[in-house]
Amino acid sequence: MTRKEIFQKVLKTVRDCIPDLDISEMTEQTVISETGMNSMAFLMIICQLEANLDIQIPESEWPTLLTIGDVVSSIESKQQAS
Amino acid sequence: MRFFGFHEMLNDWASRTPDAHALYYDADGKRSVTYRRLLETVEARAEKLQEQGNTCLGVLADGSFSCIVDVFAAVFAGMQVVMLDASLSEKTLSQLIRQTDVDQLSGSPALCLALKDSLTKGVSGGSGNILFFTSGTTEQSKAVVLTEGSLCSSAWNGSEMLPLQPGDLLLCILPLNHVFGFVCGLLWGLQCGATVALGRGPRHYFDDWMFYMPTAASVVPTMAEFLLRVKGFNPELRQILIGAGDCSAEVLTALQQSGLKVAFGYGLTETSSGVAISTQGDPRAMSLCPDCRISLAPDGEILIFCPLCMMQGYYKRPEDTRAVLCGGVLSTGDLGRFDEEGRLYITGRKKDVLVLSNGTKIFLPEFEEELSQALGEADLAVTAENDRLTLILCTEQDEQVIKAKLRPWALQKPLGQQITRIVRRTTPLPRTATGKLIRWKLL
Repeated sequence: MTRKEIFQKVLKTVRDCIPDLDISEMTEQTVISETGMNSMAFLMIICQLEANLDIQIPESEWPTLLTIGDVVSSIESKQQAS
Repeated sequence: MRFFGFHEMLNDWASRTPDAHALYYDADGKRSVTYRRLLETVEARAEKLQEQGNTCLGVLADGSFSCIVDVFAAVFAGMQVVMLDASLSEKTLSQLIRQTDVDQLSGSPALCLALKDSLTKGVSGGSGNILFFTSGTTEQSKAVVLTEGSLCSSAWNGSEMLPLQPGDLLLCILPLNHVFGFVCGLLWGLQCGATVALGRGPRHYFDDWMFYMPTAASVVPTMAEFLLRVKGFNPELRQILIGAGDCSAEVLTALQQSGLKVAFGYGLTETSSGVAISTQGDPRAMSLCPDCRISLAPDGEILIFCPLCMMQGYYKRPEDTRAVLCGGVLSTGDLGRFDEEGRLYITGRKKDVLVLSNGTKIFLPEFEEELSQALGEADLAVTAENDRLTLILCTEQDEQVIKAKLRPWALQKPLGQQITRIVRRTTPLPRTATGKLIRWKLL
């Protein structure tokens, strides 16, 4: 997948997991903690992305995922590695 | 039936209902272990630990079957036990291991290997001690010395308030290194002869419910709120106990309206978990647990006397112990009130109060909420040094913009409550898993 496609996938997953969260202005620079998403919501999104993309993001990496772009980069690196 | 130790508890159920399931866990499929088999496994492991001759087992608590066996076995073997959060950095774990005289580790082989150079020579006289760390929201974590007796007493208190039956299935989804998870996720079930299903870790916080189909569970407020929102609870669930943090009345009411029996609990690591639990009606109106006596200081601080559940003290910190525990009465740092029926409500945390030199008290949650509304920013905190208030916030807003937004708020505040310094940061403020601000990390 291209980076753009990964980003779209992330947005779709966010929308699917948290339907009432406004994703219309989210960019790769969007800071996750500023979206109103709490830790449980974030965890659900990560788990859903792992399941949908057949990847695993180590728990040790979760605290480093501060922006949507960080999530995209993490997924990109896992897909390149596989 | 009241138990005063782990061996007594497991042995009793192994005698009465030997073939009843004590635990369910996932190891390439759902497995179960009976009370008899659990006791045998623990006893065998205890023998091995005794042969090894170490004195203090640090348990990298991952909630697995082997983790639980090791905790019980180490106690059976007369070792001191230290419950460690395996998700902490190696540097932090090393400090905690040295701080608590750990000479043997249990848990992930890779992590145990990475930490082996931190092991100490052990401890003498630590038999019976089970150490949990405080949540450390307003100061650095301390190791709280509990015992199997205090933990069993706490579990008994919970079972008297919220009885489970041997046919119940309790989902143990919270970390076992936290006393709420250990007592209300594990011991509560074993105390009642119920079955405890061991959660499969954070990745399965959402699907453990349909995997195990529990009838009861203990969760933290953020988990309860989210699972309610995504309709994540299984239909067999009938009882939920919420604790370890504040939960909004709206969420508690919504959970009740979903058909669940909702209990909200208040307790501390220092009291081996719950001292008051709501069992009916308003979930925030809590009845005192049988062993507990609670009174209020003149400023509303909650004072607790519960000798059977009370900590022995903070590990190697006698002055800190004396500062909060006097004559068996614990000064909690929490604020509360009683209603006409003697039920306890939590109204805040005293440690979230700044006291200025002119006697003004600033109750930080309210103060920060005002600032949050004024600025449209949620992630902020206020600290004080020499009466000068500093606002720390995670924001991209320019300082001039912040000051402009603060002006209407500032005009309503006396001089001593003005923000004199603004610290902007790009990373979120440090918080615990339940969302509490870790204030000492801001200093």
